[in-house]
Amino acid sequence: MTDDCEGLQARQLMLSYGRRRVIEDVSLAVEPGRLTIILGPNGCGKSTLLRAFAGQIRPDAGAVLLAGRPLRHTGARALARQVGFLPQAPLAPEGITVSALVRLGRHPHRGPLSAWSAADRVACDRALAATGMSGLSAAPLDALSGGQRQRAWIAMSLAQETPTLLLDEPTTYLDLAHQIEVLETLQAMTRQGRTVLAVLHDLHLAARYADRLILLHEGRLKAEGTPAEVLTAARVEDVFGLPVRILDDPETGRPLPIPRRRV
Amino acid sequence: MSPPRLALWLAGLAAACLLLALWSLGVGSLSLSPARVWAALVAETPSREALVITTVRAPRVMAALAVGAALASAGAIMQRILRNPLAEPGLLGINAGAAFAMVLTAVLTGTAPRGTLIPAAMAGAAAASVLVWALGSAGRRGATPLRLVLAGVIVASFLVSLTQALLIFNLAALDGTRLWTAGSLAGIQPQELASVLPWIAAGLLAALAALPGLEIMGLEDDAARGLGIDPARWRLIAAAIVVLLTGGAVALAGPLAFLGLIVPHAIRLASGAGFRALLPLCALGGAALTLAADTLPRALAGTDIPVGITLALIGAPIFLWLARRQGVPG
Amino acid sequence: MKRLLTGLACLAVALFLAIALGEQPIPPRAVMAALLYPDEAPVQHVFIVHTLRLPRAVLAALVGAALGVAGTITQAVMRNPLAEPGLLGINGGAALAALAIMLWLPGTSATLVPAAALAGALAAATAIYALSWRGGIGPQRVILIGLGCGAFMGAGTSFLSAFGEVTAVQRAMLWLSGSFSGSGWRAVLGVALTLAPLLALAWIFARVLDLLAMDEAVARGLGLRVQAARAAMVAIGALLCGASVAAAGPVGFIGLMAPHLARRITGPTHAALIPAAALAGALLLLLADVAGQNVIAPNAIPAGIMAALMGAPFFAWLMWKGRHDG
Repeated sequence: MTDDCEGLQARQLMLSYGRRRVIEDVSLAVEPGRLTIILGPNGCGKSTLLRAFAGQIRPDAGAVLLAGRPLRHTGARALARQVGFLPQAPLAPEGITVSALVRLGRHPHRGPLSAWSAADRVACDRALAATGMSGLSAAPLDALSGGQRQRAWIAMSLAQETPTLLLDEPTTYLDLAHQIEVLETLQAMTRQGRTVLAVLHDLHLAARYADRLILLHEGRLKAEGTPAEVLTAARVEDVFGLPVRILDDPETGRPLPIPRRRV
Repeated sequence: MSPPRLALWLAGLAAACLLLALWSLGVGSLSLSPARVWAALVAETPSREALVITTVRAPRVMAALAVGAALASAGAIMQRILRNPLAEPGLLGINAGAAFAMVLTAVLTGTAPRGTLIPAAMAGAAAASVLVWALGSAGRRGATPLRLVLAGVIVASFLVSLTQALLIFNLAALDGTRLWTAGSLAGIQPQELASVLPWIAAGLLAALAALPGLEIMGLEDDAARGLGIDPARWRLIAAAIVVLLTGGAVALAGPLAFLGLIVPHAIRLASGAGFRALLPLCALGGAALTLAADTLPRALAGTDIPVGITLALIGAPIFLWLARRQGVPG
Repeated sequence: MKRLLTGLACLAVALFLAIALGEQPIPPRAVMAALLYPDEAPVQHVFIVHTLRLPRAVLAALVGAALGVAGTITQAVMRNPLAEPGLLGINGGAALAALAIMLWLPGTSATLVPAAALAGALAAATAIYALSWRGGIGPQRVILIGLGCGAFMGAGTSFLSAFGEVTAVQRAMLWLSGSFSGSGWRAVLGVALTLAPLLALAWIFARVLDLLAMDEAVARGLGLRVQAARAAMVAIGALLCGASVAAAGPVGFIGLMAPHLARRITGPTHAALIPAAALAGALLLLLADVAGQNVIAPNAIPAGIMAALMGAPFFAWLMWKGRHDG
């Protein structure tokens, strides 16, 4: 990890949630152009770490750097043009349509008096197409299914046209088909050169789609690397308290953790 | 809240009510210490002091306790079923209905004694809440919190404006009702109290009986349905309990909005209680607070300041302190 | 765009009605004559139209628009559809200050009362904002603090109403109900100069309001400085409301209902919602003033009261009509 690292880095990061210390001395670099997934048991600090990367919370100690520069020296708007952030279960005002939501994603690129430009329109159209929501752009968000709503939010983040995208549990409450859809969309984004960092709690999906995994345990970095490097039976049992057998996924060749039967 | 802690809180508040009652019964032109009050009450032969206490002062003390308990509990229920911190019994149109009926009666009959105004006020409160309910529950999804609140605001705005219009043109009615409007327990007669107490008692009992259902109503409608509760029906039940509790209370003492709106928040901030504990705590806390507020100006300065004003003057700063201290999530 | 033009047309009709109706009704052609050719029209008509009715109507429309927009801002910042500018203590502070002046210094009304009202309103709003500040303000805390302060100020007002000299209280109630009697062009000019830039600012920041109404984390992720934006928008709303109260006394209801009405027509996006709320508020208050003056002539019902008397059944009808929309 060097100083001229292009993407997001954490350096000896210490984070608290309220009065509780949640992340202890975490240092890592997010590899640009790849899909990196943060994994760990509940309460290990995954969401807090992600929010720190998004510049939403200030570290107690250490720093988050973007292209070598600490986040706290970056203005809110400038940061919003580099890093997009989608929180878990976001709230939207009643009655808002998909297209109005996606248009809000252009906010970092527009000043208070700037008119709606061609670049804005193109970005929104592209975002809607990438998430398959073009046909539903006029629909109110409340009338959509869980999967469609999530894709609308992702479209908003895509319209932001940031090189890096952070998502907190983007697959919660979605059925399996929609979960796969979302993850394939995220994978497609990395193939276009974007960096995606997401928090997931599903081991199987994380192993299947991630280029790199970050495994957290009790606020510390337990392991980092490719899914094959990170997900060993011993480590899964240690972190999640679950004895597993690691098989090779017949579809993808990725590690497939199978919980052992209780004797 | 753990049972021992709840028992402690309940006992503490109940003791406070009792002590406040003894103190309050001793306040007045014939000043008695709480010990003497107790002695006079339990004495075999009724003394002159006991007579003053029971006929002149006891109605007012009991009214304060009953009204405080009723309005604070009703407020807790409203905030629960509407899931909105701004909710209070007045949203069902009760205060507005009572005020309008009272002023209308005063205008139509010249200045009427409180005796005829109380039944009118209760009828007005009930009628207004029926109207609010009818408007708010019409529709496919029935009485959702938002619809009920909007309906309540609509009906209340209308009645309040009508009342104001009447008062602007009728000086006598203004003079006769403005003390009530400020929220006052002065000059309560035993018959007036007796006409209102059964309703309040019924409401409190009903609220206790309905606790389990009301507790579940704090969840989103779908989650409540999953637990076997029909949200629309329970909102109706809750509204009926609120009207029972507050119709008479407001008719008797005026619109004491502070109790229903702020006491539940204050108790929750101070004790961290969940709903099941909150309801009885609100009842006792509201009773103690109202009695204290009604007695304090008389005890300290000999002046009779309407209880609604005192409640807000001493209660609001305490509430503000609590709201700031607790770091309510933004 | 079509709806905007319809709305403006309705406003024009309302203005026309406001000028034509009154103690001395003026037929439509005469109204046009007085407006367009003041030098040739009868002096009496010109006087009534230009000195009495037109300024009053314009003021009512301006104040209504300001209240509609202030309500929209408050509901966005508080993320609560029940919110209205009164939550910020504005009406309460204004009422208390004005009532005190009217009861303790009777006869000094004309210029002192509006000034006191404005001062009271802004003092209350500042106090509530400051008390809610704890590294920033959050909607939930502001609502609770606003309630507490409102109760406190209400106690003061209650006390004054219950024990003040009863005829003075009755006269004060008239002002406290929101009234436009005796408004001249100077008042209109002052109000217009204050309100116009504020309304324009609110519209320019429409997108900021969209973001404030959203999830806070999302808004921050999109580059919005949430605390600064909240403070700025609350200030704009408070000034809009404060200026309205100073001009006409506390008028409730419109700040709550105009945004709801507008939202039904335009949806929640503020670029369209703000002008719609302004129009809705202007229409509501203007029609209320016209009705209040003419319905039980020669007595006049204050516009604030009339707004609720007319508006409430109208919204009740809307709610009833839309009951199958779910």
